[in-house]
Amino acid sequence: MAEAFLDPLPWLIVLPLAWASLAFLWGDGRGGRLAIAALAVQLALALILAAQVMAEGARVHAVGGWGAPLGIDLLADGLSVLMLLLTQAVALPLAVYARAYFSEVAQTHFWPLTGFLLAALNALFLSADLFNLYVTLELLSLAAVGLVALGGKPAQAAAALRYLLVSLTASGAYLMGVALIYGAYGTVSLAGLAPLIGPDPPLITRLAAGLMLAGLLAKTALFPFHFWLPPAHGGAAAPVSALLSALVVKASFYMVLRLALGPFAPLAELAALLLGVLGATAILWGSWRALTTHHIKMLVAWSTVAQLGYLFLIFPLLQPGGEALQAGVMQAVAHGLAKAAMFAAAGVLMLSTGRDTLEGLAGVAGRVPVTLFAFGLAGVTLMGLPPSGGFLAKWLLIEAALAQGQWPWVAVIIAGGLLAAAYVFKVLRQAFLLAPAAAHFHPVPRVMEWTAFLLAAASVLIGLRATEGVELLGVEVAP
Amino acid sequence: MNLAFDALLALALLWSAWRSLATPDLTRAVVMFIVFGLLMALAWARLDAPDIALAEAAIGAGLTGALLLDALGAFGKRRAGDKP
Amino acid sequence: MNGPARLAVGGLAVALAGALAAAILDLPSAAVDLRGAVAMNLSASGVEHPVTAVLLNFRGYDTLLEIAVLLLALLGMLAVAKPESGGSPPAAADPMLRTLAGVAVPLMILAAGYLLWAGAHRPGGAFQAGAVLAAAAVLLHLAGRLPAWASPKRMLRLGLAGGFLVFLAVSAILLSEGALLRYPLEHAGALILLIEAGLTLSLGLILAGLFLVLAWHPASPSESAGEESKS
Repeated sequence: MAEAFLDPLPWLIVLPLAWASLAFLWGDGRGGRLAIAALAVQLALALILAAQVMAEGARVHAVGGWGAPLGIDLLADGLSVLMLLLTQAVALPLAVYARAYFSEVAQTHFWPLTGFLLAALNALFLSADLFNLYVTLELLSLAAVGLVALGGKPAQAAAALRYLLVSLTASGAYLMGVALIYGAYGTVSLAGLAPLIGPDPPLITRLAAGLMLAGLLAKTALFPFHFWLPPAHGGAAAPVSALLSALVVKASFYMVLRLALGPFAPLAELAALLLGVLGATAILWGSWRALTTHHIKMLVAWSTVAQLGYLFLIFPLLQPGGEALQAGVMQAVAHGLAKAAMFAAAGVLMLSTGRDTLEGLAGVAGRVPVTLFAFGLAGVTLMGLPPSGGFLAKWLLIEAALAQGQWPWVAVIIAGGLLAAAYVFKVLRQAFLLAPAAAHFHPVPRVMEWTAFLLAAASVLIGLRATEGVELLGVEVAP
Repeated sequence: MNLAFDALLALALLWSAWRSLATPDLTRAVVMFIVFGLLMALAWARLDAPDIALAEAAIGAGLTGALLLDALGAFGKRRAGDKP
Repeated sequence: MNGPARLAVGGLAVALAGALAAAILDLPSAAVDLRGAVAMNLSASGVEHPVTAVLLNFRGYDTLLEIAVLLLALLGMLAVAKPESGGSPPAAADPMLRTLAGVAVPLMILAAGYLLWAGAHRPGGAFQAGAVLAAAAVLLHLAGRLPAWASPKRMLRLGLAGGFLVFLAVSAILLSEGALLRYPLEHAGALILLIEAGLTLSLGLILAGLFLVLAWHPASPSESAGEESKS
């Protein structure tokens, strides 16, 4: 009994829910220390779960003891455990960062909202049920919208409202798809649906899959649904932007991937080329906008639009046991760490200079060198230089594309890398200029600089631990 | 008889939904939304789902309607406050 | 919205409606019969009403997360609202409304209690009961007897999150039975009632809160509110 009670899998959901509600009860912006302690435990739980999955294979947890299709099953396989590890690994340093950040900037609801956000992410990555996925997605979106609105400035409220409307419409589309699937098959369990959806499914299944895909793409902000992302991510408080760009948009991508590999595999090929083309457009358009903006956080936000594009390049290349899947997951992990680092660094730069424009950065290199180094390191991952995780992801993608003779993707990947180099160096060049005589710099807590650095270093070094990641990714449910 | 009632209900649902979206007068749109919620509750009851009918009437029509009316009121007050 | 955009949205809506109609008319018979499974396991669920059994037992985990969604909706509103600005006292309502509220609210609270109790064997349950409670609170506010909220104080926050916390605690403690939310058969009915009672109160407060936070209009003389609100 004690063994069942201490199972890490359900606690990864229960624990963040608990500390989120406690932080809400305390109120007045308190709960930071509790969050950091709980996140350390969550990281340990995710590591234990990863070790268990690696040793004993994928695990199923039947909530309520009923088992699908009557009850809801939670599933921890290699893919979900990797996403769980990413979530806790990004969230813990960001929580430390946020605690320092919010000693500079007032807030009242950051910790409860973040707790619910992380609980939603963990629940989403562990879910094996179409409707339960919808519920976790709702929880995630509402927490994210609340976080965007946190500052209470009119621009933030406007961005949050736009995000909310897109998000609700997208949820509605996804939910309609789920309802159609339930009507057609009588179950919403992923494992239960997989054998029922054959190679030539009826119209209702195609329509449902289309609706669900459209909803998820809007939530992932894939071009042309990207319009809500830059104001929401660029306008939010720095720790919020980091959480949103690193983790939240990955959740809906994970769902697309999970469904395309699982029950909707027979339909995945139909959308593959479209997803690839949209991804390629996102890379080029997002990078171009990042290059031409004058606001530092908008630059980082547009870079997110571009980097999300790489995730969807994998779909035309997806083959069982192929490298494209590894490339996609590696890109999600590397970009998650790098983008968290970049937004964290951007937050430090803005606090230090008191301005949000690139012009204002002149001379900042001498004041916060660690932060600038972190920004550069994260940039190395985004550009895809060795030995970073970003390099590995792009390398695997190029290999998969060449092996299948689909060379146009290679051109896009290389162009995207060059554009990323251009916008990262634009920031660095500005920072190394001499400070104008009138410039005034505010001191920034050191811990913020070092957490940004830690995340950036992890995004580069993760490339060296790729073998374990690939091995873990290979753990699937025994058929 | 039942079929006629259901057909009428379906038409009324479509009509109220359309009116609440298309009318330029916000107050009327909210009222039509409440009407839509009540008709929806009736539809759920006809579909043998009294649980959902109850929730729809209380939350969909009642509470949401009250919220929308209140938002409308606050909106009007703020506008009036802008240009005294 | 301008003409072409309107036309495009309209066209999209019509196309979707057509596709939905075609899909529904061609609906294959479902391969899995969950109704049968629910009916078969109803006796082991602790309640007699299938909807309550699904909501609180078979798929209780979904409900747990949905409660968190509702709590978050309120939290989101509080994040946008500016607590430092003052609020308006409830407008002096006409005496008819005051009297009506005085009569209706006790009845509504009674109805909520009945709905909560009835949920175990017929339509009803925490959501409906909570909604009725919330409606009572809104009525009280409109009748000028309940002030709007600025930002909820500690006791009120406990009321808002209490139902969720009870649900979460029960779910976690039942891990010792081998899985999240795995009710032991002999206690299932009592535990579900406990959860539903907590949820009724908290849902009532949350739903009322959505209204009462919005009703807190800034730029008027300030007043102290929050703690006194009841339901």
